[in-house]
Amino acid sequence: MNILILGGNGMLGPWVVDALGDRHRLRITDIGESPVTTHEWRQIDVSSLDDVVDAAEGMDAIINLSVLRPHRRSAFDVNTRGNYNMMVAAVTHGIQRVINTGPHYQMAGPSYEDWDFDLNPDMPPQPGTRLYAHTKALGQEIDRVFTTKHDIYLQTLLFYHLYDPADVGNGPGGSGLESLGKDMMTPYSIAWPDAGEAIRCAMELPLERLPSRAETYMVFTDIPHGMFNNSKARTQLGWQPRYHLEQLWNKS
Amino acid sequence: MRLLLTSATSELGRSLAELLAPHHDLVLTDLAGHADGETNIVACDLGHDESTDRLVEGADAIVHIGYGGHFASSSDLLDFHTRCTYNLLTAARSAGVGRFVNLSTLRLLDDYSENLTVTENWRPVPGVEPVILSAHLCEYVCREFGREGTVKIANLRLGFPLVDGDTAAAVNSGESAALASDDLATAIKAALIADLSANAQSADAPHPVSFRTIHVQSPIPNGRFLLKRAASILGLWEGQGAA
Repeated sequence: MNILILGGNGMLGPWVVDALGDRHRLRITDIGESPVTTHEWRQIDVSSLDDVVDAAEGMDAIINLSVLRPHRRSAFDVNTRGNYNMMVAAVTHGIQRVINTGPHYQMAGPSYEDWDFDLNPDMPPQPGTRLYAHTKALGQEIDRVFTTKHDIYLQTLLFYHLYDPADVGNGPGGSGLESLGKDMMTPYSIAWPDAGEAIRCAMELPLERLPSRAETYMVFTDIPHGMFNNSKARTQLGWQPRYHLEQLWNKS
Repeated sequence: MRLLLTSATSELGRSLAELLAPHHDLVLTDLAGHADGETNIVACDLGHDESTDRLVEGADAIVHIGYGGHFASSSDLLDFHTRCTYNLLTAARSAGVGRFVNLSTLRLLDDYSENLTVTENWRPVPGVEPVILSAHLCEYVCREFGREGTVKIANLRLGFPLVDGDTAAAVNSGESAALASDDLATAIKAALIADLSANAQSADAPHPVSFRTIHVQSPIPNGRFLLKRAASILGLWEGQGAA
């Protein structure tokens, strides 16, 4: 497939390129500098409708990895309007497959996470008003509405804490024992290569096997706390985590 | 009551200003590009800065045009109804503004067949046209602020078309979802002071309900949309409208 990657030179982008690069023709785009790559590269701004529509020409699928967190205008420009631009580009070029990504709390915000267990990707979104979650949730809603009116298949993959498997325990939770049981880190964690592999699984899943035109997946490694549920990513995408990150919740 | 009205130089904004001015201490505001050269309009781009904080300071309530304001590009429509609304609500929450009335549209339910008894409990079915999608997203922003409490938000979905005059004018329009301007003014006045928890499932919970959607079309015989919440929350048109 010819695949357009938006935000392809961020933190997740290189892992997605690793997972897909030998199997598909990639057009990597980002607002930032060019990565060192053998794939086609374009510098674009996802908040520009013209940029995104132009970049999507000749593509079979779009993966949206673009994200901007702290600045309020940029967050809306990228996380919300960037999705609108992506979907207009998909309609313009007849692209049927769109993969969107974001943090788990664009769906399961504090009103879920502070209260419940077995949180799953088929719940109605409750992102709350935290800027990052809120703007990403608006983007996801734009995507969903487009699938109700156009023949576009949307797969949204939700991540949160991502780790280099060689460096678990030295990540955002601190080092060694300091990271144990830090719930902000453990409920929703995955290794970077497994995240890239999940996107490959989504990309290569035949569209006719999707139950609807808008499917969402919670993608994290198998963690014993039971707060979130990753079974849909396993059963529908056929994805299996290679890295289990046991160091995050095992005492020894 | 000191009332802030957004998009005040739009056609709908001007009509609302005229309708609300006799009853409220009205502060009119619009984006700088629209407010240029206008007297009595406070120019504010609803950014995340002190200007938005100053705008809402001292307001008892805000009436926000979430649909049917200015014509604009898709980017500008989406930006106003998401980011600007978010900034306005953030400022309102910080300033302790007690009531926020979002004016949305019943066009979000237009895809449902006319023979269906569509109430506020039916899921919106927006299209992707920027003006409709923006209204839907504006509701989304309001709903999440409402979910967190603090600001009490009345989300009024207005009938269409908007016709000048009283209920009889709406009846005479021949449009089953029409809304007369007099009825709109009546609904907004009621929404500014209504107990939003009236007849809510969680009305007895310790935290009062802080977001309610209410359908507002004129109570014409066999009207298209049911007006149950207009009756139960706003105290309007009991037993009138759709059978």
